[in-house]
Amino acid sequence: MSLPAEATVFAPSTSDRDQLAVLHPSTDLPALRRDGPLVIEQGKGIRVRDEQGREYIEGMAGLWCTALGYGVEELADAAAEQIRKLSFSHLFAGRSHEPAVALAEKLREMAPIANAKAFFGTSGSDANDTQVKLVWYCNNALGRPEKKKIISRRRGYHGVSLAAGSMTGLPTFHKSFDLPLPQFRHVTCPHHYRDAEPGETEAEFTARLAAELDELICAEGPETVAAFIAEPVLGAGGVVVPPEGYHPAIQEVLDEHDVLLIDDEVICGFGRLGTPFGAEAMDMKPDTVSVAKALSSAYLPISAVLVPDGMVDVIVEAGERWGVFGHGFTYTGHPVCAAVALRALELMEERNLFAHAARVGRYFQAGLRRFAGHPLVGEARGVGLIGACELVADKETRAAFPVHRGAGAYCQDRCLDHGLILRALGDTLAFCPPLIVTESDIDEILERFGRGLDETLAWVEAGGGAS
Amino acid sequence: MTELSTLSRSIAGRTALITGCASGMGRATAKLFAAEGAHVAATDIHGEGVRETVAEIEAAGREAAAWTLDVGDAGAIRRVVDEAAARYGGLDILVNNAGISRGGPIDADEYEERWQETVNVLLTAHQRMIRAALPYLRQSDSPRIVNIASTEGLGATAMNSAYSAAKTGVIGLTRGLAVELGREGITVNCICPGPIRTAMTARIPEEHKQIYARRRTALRRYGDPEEVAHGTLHLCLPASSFITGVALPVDGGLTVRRA
Ligand SMILES: NC(=O)c1ccc[n+]([C@@H]2O[C@H](COP(=O)([O-])OP(=O)(O)OC[C@H]3O[C@@H](n4cnc5c(N)ncnc54)[C@H](O)[C@@H]3O)[C@@H](O)[C@H]2O)c1
Ligand SMILES: Cc1ncc(COP(=O)(O)O)c(C=O)c1O
Repeated sequence: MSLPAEATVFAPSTSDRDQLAVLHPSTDLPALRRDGPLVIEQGKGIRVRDEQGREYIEGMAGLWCTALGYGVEELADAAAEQIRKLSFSHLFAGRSHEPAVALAEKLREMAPIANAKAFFGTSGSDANDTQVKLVWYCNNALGRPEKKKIISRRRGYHGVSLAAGSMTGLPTFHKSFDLPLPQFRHVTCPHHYRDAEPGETEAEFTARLAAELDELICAEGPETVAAFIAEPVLGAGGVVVPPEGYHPAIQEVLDEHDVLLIDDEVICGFGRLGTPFGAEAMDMKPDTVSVAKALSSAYLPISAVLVPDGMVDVIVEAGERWGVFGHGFTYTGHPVCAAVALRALELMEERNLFAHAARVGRYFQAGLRRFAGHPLVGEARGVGLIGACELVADKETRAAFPVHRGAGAYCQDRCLDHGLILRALGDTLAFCPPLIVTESDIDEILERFGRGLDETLAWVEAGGGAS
Repeated sequence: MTELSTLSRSIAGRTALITGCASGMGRATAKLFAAEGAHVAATDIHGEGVRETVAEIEAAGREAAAWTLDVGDAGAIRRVVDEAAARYGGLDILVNNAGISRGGPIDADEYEERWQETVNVLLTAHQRMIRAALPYLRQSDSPRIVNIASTEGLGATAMNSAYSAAKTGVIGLTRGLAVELGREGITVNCICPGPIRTAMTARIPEEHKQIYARRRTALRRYGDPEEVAHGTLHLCLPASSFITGVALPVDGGLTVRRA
């Protein structure tokens, strides 16, 4: 491909044009207007290139999603083949097609719940909205129409659509959007480092959170509480690994009050924690499961809600009274997305990716923990191939930096200078590399992070951002 | 009041050979020079296009003749320069304008080929044209050489290294020859056009042109080929006798704008 030079020289860059035509999602928009975007153009393996040709290690797997890395030929072929054969067909009104069925079978075989049927969507958000709607529909069908409330955790992230956004427990996604909706409640985030009382042990902390949940359910009335939704490890809220025993303790409360557990595996699903699903690593016994992101390694948008046969039976029986089951998207089970997802899951199996993730995950966690001694790092945490370093102003008191100081953002930018993409969630630097990373890739990631972190320390000591 | 000297501000009656006259700045320069009364030897690889340019000039009652000339062809250069000089009884002005542009990254498979072609047409051709025209220019009382470089010879944009190298080379050639030929009174200058509406930039949509110009140029707009032609004309006037070796940006302030 040879473009006339002038046609590129005297043309605005993609970043110049961006500002005219694009409204960006989840972005500090005034800052974007000031600084312009970083335009990514190409990707191969765990690396991407920007429009200037600069290369970065994608330390965040995009948005926690590109498990198999970039440029996998088999997935390009799977997409091309399916597009040539049948680019679209749907699952409405009695239609079906092979790719959706084959993917559903594969998920039924892999799922962390028994006898799962799949309802497909295209994003984590729509999967979680579907979860809420299915629970509501079922409870209406079961003749308990008041059992509708959904409980989630503060700092949980479940997406941004109206129900998913209501379950998300981060103020940014609520304020000025009139969220959460009235049926949603939030409880304490299971982050011992931040949320435990002084001197409280992990076991005491866990017991307190279980009690808090129990009290909330009792106060609301158990007959009004339908489900509790949780990520096995909280991702976008700052990579929080709950204390050991947390999920079993929560489970006991849920069981007592007949409240379902919705397991949001959108990040943790498919090997992220070193197990096929996060539920296995975190000792969860979910009733239903949401998957997305790594389901297709982010090659195409696809999500799935996994629900047990019993719940589907309730929905089918309700059809006798109510007629058509009125939920579904044009792209539910999109054949191209489904074909690519199936191929992605096969590749994960062929390449023994989950075992690989478990092995390099241990190496990564050991490396990450070495930063715990750094003067800026309050906590280095994570499990498998997801991790974080939380920067603090004072290691002793755990005092955070003032928000406006932007220490996390500064560190993120320095890492970018060194060719490493991480994500600052406030002052917590998150790591979530593609699952195909090798130990030497991890060395490189941590070495680059170390340089960025040291520069951030120098900046903090020089009073940077403290005006 | 002391008498000002009366250096000529006209190219009337002079002969100008211009390359790349079928389109863009070459065509605009041919038409402007003819309108100013010069005899224009208009050349281009594109025979039909250059004949069209000449037809427009003739329709306006001015003097021009067309030659099909690929500046990548060394033999053809000699022949056409000789023919043009023979037709008009000499040569006063040479404008090296013909150009192509091929972008692409340094590690592209076709880079080597693209480099050869680019350097050949944009740089090697200039020295060949100049060497062929030199015997005639030496006979002129105001000999002028103008090479069309680019702002890409002053700075650079990614993915255009061959083009940028060639255009930087044009500036170097201009300077070297300005010094070398200065003792003979031959001036050698170059123009560095910025964003100009020609066939080369035609594929950039109008909206993108405006975004680019607003963000990057002082005048907040793209230039037209005539505006470059006027810059070239200025350097070719007999009165511009003390200007040599310059690389003149005609770029709406692209190169001076910082923010
Ligand atoms: N358009 C711009 O924005 C811009 C900016 C800076 C410099 N330039 C330079 O200006 C000059 C004129 O370009 P333009 O913008 O008018 O483009 P254009 O494409 O409109 O005209 C270029 C002309 O050169 C001719 N040509 C191409 N290869 C040739 C060859 N081997 N032999 C003879 N003629 C040949 C083409 O047929 C065409 O008529 C070029 O040297 C170009 O690099 C253009
Ligand atoms: C755990 C979790 N659930 C749901 C979502 C929402 O997914 P989407 O952005 O595809 O709507 C995300 C996205 O980051 C997530 O991390």
